[in-house]
Amino acid sequence: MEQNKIDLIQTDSPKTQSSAGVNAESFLSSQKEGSSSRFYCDALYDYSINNVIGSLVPHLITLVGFSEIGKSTFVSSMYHELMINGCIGEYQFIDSDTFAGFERRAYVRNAKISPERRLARTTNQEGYFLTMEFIKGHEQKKLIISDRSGETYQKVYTSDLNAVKKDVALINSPHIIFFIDVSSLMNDTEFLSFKDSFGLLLTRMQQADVFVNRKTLDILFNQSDKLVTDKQKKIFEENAVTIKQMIKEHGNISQEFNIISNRMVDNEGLNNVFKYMVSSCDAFNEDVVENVDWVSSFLKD
Amino acid sequence: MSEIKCLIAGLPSSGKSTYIGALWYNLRNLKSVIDMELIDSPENLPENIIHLNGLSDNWIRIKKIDRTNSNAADNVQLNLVHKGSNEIIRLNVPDFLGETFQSIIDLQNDKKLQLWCQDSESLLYMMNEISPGQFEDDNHHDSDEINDEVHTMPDLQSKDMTPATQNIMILKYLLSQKAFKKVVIALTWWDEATQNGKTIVDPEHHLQSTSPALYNFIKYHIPSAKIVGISGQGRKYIEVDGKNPELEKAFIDEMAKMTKEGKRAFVGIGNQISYDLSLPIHLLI
Repeated sequence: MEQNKIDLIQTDSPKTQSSAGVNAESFLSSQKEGSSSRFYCDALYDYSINNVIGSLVPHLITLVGFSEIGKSTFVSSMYHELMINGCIGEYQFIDSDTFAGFERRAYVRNAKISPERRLARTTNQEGYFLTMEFIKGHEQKKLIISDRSGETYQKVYTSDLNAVKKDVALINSPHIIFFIDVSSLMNDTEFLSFKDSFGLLLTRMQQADVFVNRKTLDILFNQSDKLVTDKQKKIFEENAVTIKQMIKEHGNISQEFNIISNRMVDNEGLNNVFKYMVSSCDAFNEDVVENVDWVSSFLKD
Repeated sequence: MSEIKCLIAGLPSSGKSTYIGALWYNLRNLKSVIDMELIDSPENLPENIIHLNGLSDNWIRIKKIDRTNSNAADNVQLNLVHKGSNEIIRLNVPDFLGETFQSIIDLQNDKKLQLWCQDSESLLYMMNEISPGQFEDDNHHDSDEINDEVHTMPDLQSKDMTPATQNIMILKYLLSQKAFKKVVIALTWWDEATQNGKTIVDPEHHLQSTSPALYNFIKYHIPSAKIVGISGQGRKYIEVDGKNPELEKAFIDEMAKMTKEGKRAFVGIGNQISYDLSLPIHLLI
């Protein structure tokens, strides 16, 4: 990662892609040893995200959460929604630099819910930045989603402060959505273990100055359909209050969502999150200040 | 004579070779239905017509053209005159394999394709599949029921991606290589979308309603692109293997009659059907 950042600083050649393309040669040359990009328009890394940033100021949303809680499933559901409808609300989906990154997540998602379960998840070797371009009226918007592997947050960031400090995008991200699996909160034993790890992650993020820059913090409880009994619902509500309080120590929670990320049909809750994320491009474009402009920070770093 | 270099692109089975074979036959044999005419005087006859003849022979005999195992691009050159304007055009078309375009997604770029792309003024992009994909939970609720049996998942292959995404990525690559002056997007296997040409379907509306994101991508990046439908085969071929001789003979006879009358392969533009296969080429000039 450190070497990649050095490459980033030293790169001063003009961008080679046209308005509609990611130049395959520059894309290939940007692939580093250990990365798993095998496709044109695959998900991007710290060192390759700058290659696709044009004149638009993108809005970056960072999804933070542990393994197997449905971040990538959520992202692929959002992509699928855009592919089959062409839009979310008033935002027409016109392009992405990471079509293959989305397809990879959709492939994993569908394998997970197929009759035979397969070992499949986003690994910490894969690219994590995914981009979406929209047109609303005559205005063009770009949304970037950081979908790092849960393993990175769960195993690396909780135990290694330096790793968090190197995550410039997380530190400068103007918008974080904490993903939490409902099943971690509806059973007290599970909750104690989750709370311990989540607390460690928040502490590491604080130590790395993640919360110094003004940020929008949201919380999203996934797989809310798992809450069946009254007892489960009661325990979940109590534990959710504790988790929200832990986050509030670092900043106000802007939005709270309860969703089922792996169900496309009749899922208004999921669609509302999609609309919220896309429309946040508007709110933030008006409000970009230099110290939270992660692109500028990348380039200057 | 002005020379137009045109790139015909598309994934495997998108109908590129079938279209070229049908066009070559129609140019020589169905002059009354075609607005462009082949200049077939000895001095203007393309130097090498082996490939063209092979394609059109398969087309006449209602044989599927499978070039998967053949070598790379076969160049095709057609000297044409437009009957209305008398404009003479030398059309240079490389008949690349669909796999060459598929491999763009796998980051295995073909140098020859890259050079052709940079050298071409116009692009005819053909797509037979445009689906944006389907999730198992698109229409029902029980998708989260997971069997305990655990398997290792095979790696994602580019062909596993949805057809809409594959086509967008290939178009994205081609547009990054060259700002084409003219682009025609052809939805192929158009006989299937139009019940063999009996139902009127506007290709642009069909693309927009079937694959909205692919449509958006095209309209945003190439707003002047013309969207047409092409049925190179004329209709879906049946298996001719001697198992149902009467049916097979009836099918072959009917196709031969349609070929003879110039009413087999067709192009859909707007709400019109035309048997003039040179229309997509004319739109590129």
